[in-house]
Amino acid sequence: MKIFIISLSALLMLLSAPLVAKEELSQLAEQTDQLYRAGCGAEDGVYTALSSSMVAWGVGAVVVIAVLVGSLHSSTAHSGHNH
Amino acid sequence: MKYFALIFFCIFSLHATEDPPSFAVFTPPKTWEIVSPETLPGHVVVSFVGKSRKELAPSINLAIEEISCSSAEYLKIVKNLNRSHSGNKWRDLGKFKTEAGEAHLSEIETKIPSGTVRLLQLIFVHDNRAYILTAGALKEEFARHYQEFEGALKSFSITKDLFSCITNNEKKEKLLEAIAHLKENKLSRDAFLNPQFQESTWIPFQNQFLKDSIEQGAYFQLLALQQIASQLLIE
Repeated sequence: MKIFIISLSALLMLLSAPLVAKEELSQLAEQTDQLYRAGCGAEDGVYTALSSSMVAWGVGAVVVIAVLVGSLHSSTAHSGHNH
Repeated sequence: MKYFALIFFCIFSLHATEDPPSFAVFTPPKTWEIVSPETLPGHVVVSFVGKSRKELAPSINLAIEEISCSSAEYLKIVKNLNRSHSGNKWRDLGKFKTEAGEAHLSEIETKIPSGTVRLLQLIFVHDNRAYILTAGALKEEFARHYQEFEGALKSFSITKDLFSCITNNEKKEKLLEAIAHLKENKLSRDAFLNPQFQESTWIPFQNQFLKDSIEQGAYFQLLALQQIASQLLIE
């Protein structure tokens, strides 16, 4: 009887071991991944502070260029009319 | 243009986010503009930019990151990340009081082609989430914007009840009444986006709301409109 119980336990352990290991490994992988990726929020914040500021300047520059082009166009049209 | 951006944010949020368990709110400087959400990287939920005559405008953004480590461990990771970038200068400024409680403040200096940028980074960890407010400007302009940055960082708070941010009881009651009235319309997503509903109901409500909640700042207004819009929808 004892031998039967021990054999059954051993068999159960053998069968469940890969499943437990698989679960633990995926948990470990997830934790490692999280740790590896930790800090991304802070990095995204720095990146956004720099890129948003540059985009804002870019939009400002486009407006300035558009105004310049507009004024150049009107002054050219004006001088063309004089000739 | 502002109203269009807000409608866009509401529509965007209906597609992109689930209701968070708590709201992180801060008050950006009044005249600053919201940056289009399409241009923001994964963790950044909102960004605002100010005006500048120089090549780089001042800005402030809020990033939220789900974390599985402690506040101290997270700060250590961020410190190491910043120090690992060559050309970056990182300085610990210690604890900083916000409406949400004590947060951690650091300063980063980084060089870009148009000059040196100085950034202030506030980190607050709560319920397995790191809330990161990053404000920055050109080093030579930093002092001019410091008070605006400080005010925005101090205003950072976390709340379960978004409308508790409205301190004027009369305005709050009026607003909650308007929301309750609006909630009588249970809509499908398409019906919400229908131009007729937008013009006859949503936009007038939104305009009134923007007028009544101006003190709470643009980010509060954005979050509140997102929440109200999501509550109108049939699940």
